[in-house]
Parts: sequence; structure tokens; C-alpha cells
Amino acid sequence: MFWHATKEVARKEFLQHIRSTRLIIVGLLFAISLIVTTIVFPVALGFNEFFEGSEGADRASGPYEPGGENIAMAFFLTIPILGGVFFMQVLAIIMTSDAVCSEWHNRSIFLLLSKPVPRGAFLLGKFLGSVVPLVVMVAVLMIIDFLVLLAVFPGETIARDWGHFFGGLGMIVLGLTVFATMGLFFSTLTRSTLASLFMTFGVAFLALPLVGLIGEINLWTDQENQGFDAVDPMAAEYDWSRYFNPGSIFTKATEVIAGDDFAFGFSFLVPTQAPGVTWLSVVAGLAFAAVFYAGAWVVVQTRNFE
Amino acid sequence: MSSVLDIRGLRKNYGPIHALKGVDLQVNKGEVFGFLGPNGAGKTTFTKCVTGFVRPNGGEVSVLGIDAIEHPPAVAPHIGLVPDQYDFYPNLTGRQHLDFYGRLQGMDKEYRQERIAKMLDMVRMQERADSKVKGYSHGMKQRICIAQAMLHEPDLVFFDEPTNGLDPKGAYELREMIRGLASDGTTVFLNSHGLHEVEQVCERVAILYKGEIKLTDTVQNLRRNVGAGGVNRVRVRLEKPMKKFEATVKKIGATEQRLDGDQLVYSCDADLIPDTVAALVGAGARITEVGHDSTSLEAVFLEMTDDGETT
Repeated sequence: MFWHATKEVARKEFLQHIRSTRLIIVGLLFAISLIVTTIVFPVALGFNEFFEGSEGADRASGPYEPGGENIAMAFFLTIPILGGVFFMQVLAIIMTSDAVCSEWHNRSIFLLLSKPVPRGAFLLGKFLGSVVPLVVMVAVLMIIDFLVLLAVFPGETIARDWGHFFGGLGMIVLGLTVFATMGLFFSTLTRSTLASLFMTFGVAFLALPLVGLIGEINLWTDQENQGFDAVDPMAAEYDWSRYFNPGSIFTKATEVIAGDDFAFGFSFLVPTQAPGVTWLSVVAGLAFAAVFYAGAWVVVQTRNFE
Repeated sequence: MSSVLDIRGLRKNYGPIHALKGVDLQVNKGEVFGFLGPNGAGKTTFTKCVTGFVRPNGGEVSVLGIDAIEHPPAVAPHIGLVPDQYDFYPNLTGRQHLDFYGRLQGMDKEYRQERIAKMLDMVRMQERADSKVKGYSHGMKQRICIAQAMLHEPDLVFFDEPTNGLDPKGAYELREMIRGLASDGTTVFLNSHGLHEVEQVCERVAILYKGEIKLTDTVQNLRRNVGAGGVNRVRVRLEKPMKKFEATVKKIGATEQRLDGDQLVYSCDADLIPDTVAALVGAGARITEVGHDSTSLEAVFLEMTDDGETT
């Protein structure tokens, strides 16, 4: 009963999303931003010609080797990721922050839960039905963009480039899931979509990034007191808090795709550097997703829908 | 007679407020059961506890022997629900809604299509079934809601104020539909403000007041009791209605006396009726007609909900 109900709720949710204009509009905006920042903008400025014939263009060891990078491609691939990080985070939140509360507010939940639908299946179905189209859309657009980048900019591509790309893409998908579970959790706490949206934005872009900033503030203080080169910015005492910023997984993903030289510590409202350890960043992302999903599950199981 | 719905000691508190104070109720297979009570009596809380939306503080709810508090999804295939407040997904059509709810009920494609066609025909929505719900009137939504409740041929159907938003013809058709369901062996639980409606279609009624069941009996018994010494509502048509006649019947022992157009309406014990009529004649009233108030259930309802609060 559980999986059947989950599948049917997810299917309905998916149908609703593709029938509404919301996903089409945000998908178009995302595609346009990708094309403009990775293809139109660099080509218009002549960057592809600038790197033509340079040492970087002839490299055979992959784009991430020092001195042998496909600099233009690596650099411009970070632009959509950086530019798209905030966009994707917002998108994930928008897709799920009304998942439960809109059903409750509109009272459609009284018809849905009068059917053989365990509340856990209702939650999982709503989540999957919102996240799957989003993830598919982002992944497909980014793969297309990557292929176009390879064609436009000079340099060879080896298997490791693809490995880096898909590794980073996997982390972006995980990042989307983290923000989606956050939206899902807050959607269980209230009947109001607006309240859910504000709570999610507040926690995702302010509260947690501020926690993530603690190590960064210590770093700045020590750099001020001991000198810029005297401290290691990736030391554990500065690095630990960066994992508490859920946006840091996107930052780390840019590093994985573009290489260390092109890693930008950036999160829209509260900037922090990319965390030092990739696997820890993934674990932090999984932990965030698990905690918020478990929270949503507990609330939905115990909630009186009146 | 086997009971389909068995409720024992159902309690629900909201902080210091006791919305349900240990409600006991049995609804038998195939009967149409009316559930009455003024606003705030706890009717909606009761329905939401029984259908699994609200977790009660205590008591037992059993539907066909299944614990409805612990296992609402296990009960769901056996019940249909027409809630008093609900809405649909605006971008889906009426048919898509029925298909979705049918899938959730685990109905296979052939059976689902057959039932959807039958239900759309029953609620007269075939022509608009493929339009998006956002273009529907309230009455059309109510029809689709009734269709989704009966789609999977449940054993027990809860109707919560089902005639809200229906025109008189729709309300009449719904009453006929309820009678039809009962004749097919389906049990109906009708939560309604319409005393007249309940009296017309229900075999038994319960009156809930301030979280307690004040009375459970058959409509037939209630009528009989009214006629045999219970509270009567009397309507006396007068040639010249005058305010002083209210005092005349009050002196004899009548209550709730009032002039309603050319009629004097009052409540009194059955054995006092001849005395009140005689007193009116004695006071100079020219009586053209004497009759029982047709809404006898209303009299009982007002008596049970002693502050006279109406729904």
C-alpha cells in the first residue's frame, strides 16, 4: 500500500507541475541564464579565440592539471554554477515549500488522506513528485550546456573531465535535495505557503550560513593578527563550520567541476569558502537532507489536520 | 444487526476545552444515520476523529472491526467521505481527479473507467468532466466530490453537510441518491444542519450537544414520543391574530409561543393541546385550523439543546 500510494501521489504531483506554467517558466529562465553566461557572453568577448593555440588548448592531461587546463572552459563553467547556485536553491525551495501546506490550506488534503494513503507515503510522494522534475531539468540542461562548452572552447576532453563533471553534477543534485527537504519540512509546520517560504529562506540563506561563517570569522581574525600567510585557511579550526552552510555543497561542486584554481567560496547572502574535504561535504549534505526529511515525517505523522 | 461503525468513549480536548466528552455511538449496516448538533457541538471534530484526520485523546473507533485510530489507511477502502470543506487541484479535470482517487483506491483500469463513467452519469457531470476544475462552480465541485466518495463502492459513506452549494434539484437528487445507497446495503452517516433533510432520509439520529450525545433514537420513535406526551409544536391559524393570544396559551402551560403571520405557534405537552385551544376560543379567538408543526424533529432538537441554539 505504501509504495503504491507514494507512486500515485508522486505521479499526480508531477502531472500538476508539468501542467502548471511554473516549471516551464523557471526552466526557461535557467536555460537562458546557462546559455548567456557560458556561451553568448564568452564568445561575444572573444575568450574562445583568446585561448586558441595557447598552452592550455593543447593539453592532453585533462583540464584540471596545473599548467594544462582548458582555462576558458573551466572558468566559464563556474559562472553558471555560481550564478545558478542561488537560482537553483531558490527553485528547490519554491518547488517544495508549499508541498504539504498548500494541500492543507486548499483543503485538498481532506480528499487525499481519506483514501488508503499512509501519511508517510503522502510525504514521500509529494517530495519525489516535486524534486524529480527539478533534478531532471537541471541535470539535462547542464549536460547539454557542458557539451556545447566542449564544442565552443578549445582543448581535448578526457574521461576524467567527465568524471569531474558528473561528480560535481551529483553534488549539485544532492544540494537541490537538501534545499528541497528544507522546504518540505517547513511546509509541514504551517498552513500558509508564504510563512513556509519565509521560514525556509530565513534558515537556508541566513541562519545556517551565519553558523557556517563562524570559522570564517575566526580565520579573518587570525589572519589579521598573525598575518595572511601565517594561517592555513583550510585548517580544521576554520573549516568545520563551512559544512553547516547547506549552500556549501554547491560551492564544493564548482570546485570539483572546475578544479581548485577556480573554486569560488560563494553563497549568495553569507559568503563562505568551499569546505576542504569533498566527502565530508557530501556527508554533510546527506545529513541535512536526512534531518529535514525526518523532521517533516515526524510532523506529518503527528499532525492534526483540521 | 451488525454494526459498521462502533465508537466507544471518544474524547478530544483542545487545551482546557473538551470538544468530545466520551462519545459512544453505533451505526448499523445499511442504515442512514443522521448526526445533528448546533454549531460548536463537536460534529466536525467527531467526523475528523473517525476519518483519521484528528487524533483523539482517548476512546476507540472501529469501522467494520478495524481500528480507525491506529490504521486509517486500512479503513479508507471501506469508507467514502464528502467533507464539509475541501477543494480540488485546479489544473486537473474532474475525470482526472476521479482517476487519481480510483488509482489510490487500487482499482484496476477497466473497473476504474467503468465506475468513473457511472459516477459521472449519476452526478450529471459527463459534459464537464474533461474541463479543468478551476472553471467549476461550487455545485459542480460538490457533484464531483460526491462521485469520488462513492467511486470505490464503500461500505460506509460520510456526508458532511452534503447539500451545501447544491440547488434544490441537486439537493433532492442527493436525497434520492442516499436512499438508493441505503437500499443497496451501503451505510450512510449524514452530518447535516438540515433537520428537515435528516428527518426525510434518516432512520436513526443522534443529537450531539457540547461534546456529548444527548439522544440516539429512530426518527419513528421520536415522532411517536412527540405524539404521546412528549413536546408538541402546535400551529393554530387565526382569523384575527392578536398578541394577547400568546399570553393566553402561556397561562395554560405553553412555551415558546409566538405569532408567525396569521398563525400562533407554541410548544406544549400533548395532553394540554385541547385546553390551549379551548382557552383561545374563550379569549375570543376565531380558529380556522389547528395542526402539528411538521418539523417535529426540530422540537426535539430544541428541547435537547436546551438553550435553543440552532444550527
